[in-house]
Amino acid sequence: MPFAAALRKSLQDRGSEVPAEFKRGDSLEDVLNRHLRTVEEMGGDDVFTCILLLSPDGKRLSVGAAPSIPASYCRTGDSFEIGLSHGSCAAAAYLGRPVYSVDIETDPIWADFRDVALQHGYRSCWSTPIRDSNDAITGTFAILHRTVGMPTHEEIEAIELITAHVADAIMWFRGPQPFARPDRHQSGAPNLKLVANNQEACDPSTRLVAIVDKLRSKASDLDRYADRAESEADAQVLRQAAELSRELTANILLQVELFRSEKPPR
Amino acid sequence: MDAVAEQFLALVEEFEAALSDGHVSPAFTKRLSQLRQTAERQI
Repeated sequence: MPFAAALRKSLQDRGSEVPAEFKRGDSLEDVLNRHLRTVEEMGGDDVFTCILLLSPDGKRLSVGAAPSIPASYCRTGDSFEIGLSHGSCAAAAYLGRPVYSVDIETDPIWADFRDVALQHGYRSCWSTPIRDSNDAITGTFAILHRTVGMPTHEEIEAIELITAHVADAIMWFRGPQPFARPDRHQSGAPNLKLVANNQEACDPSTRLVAIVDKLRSKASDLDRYADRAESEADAQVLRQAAELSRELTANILLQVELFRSEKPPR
Repeated sequence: MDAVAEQFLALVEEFEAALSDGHVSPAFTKRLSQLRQTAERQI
């Protein structure tokens, strides 16, 4: 079975077990740990995952589940402030968008936690906000690697799939409520591995795709900032910025298609 | 075009880093306008 289909099937199987697990009294940590072990077993030797939960005041993250990460790095209940120097998860929660730290050793976002991460051998970290059915951030899902690298487009889709299942488990625990969100599990199927191939990061089209992903994310963020702007003038500027982001996205996607059509098949 | 995109992303990240200011600065508006004009020339 291809990886994408296998991952989707495994997560669907896990998701179907969640209500019974909570009903029999399993903790949220137990349930999330099972989700993460499923991902790690499929992801290979260089995939270490964790889920951090956002405090009710939206200012701090605490460890919700981290089945294979040593307690000396993070343990359940540990908490720290969100912000732009406490690692990828703190930044993802602060900015409300995915933050991919390609190299922890040089990324300013890791300024305060760099030493401890490097001491444990982690070199890259891809973190994504977890959102509830009201689009509010409830935590972050992260994949740590012992190698530097950025996620491929397919890996980003895999992360989105995983994050959606984690969000459902959290909502079920906190609700309980039906899985009311549009069925994101069926769309955007990932079709590659979880572990980054750094050769791919050197591929020009891969770099362009990464820019497109960022532009798309920024367009959504800018729309959100516009909705919350203090004045209509500010909102208008931010909507123009979102529009430019989408125009750049469309044009770079054309470049990607041209590049790929010119590239000899491998 | 990707160079313009990277400059645009850097601009937005600068804006996000100053989100606590609560408003869009004139510098942001001006730079955004310049980037738009550059992009339009290249499209």
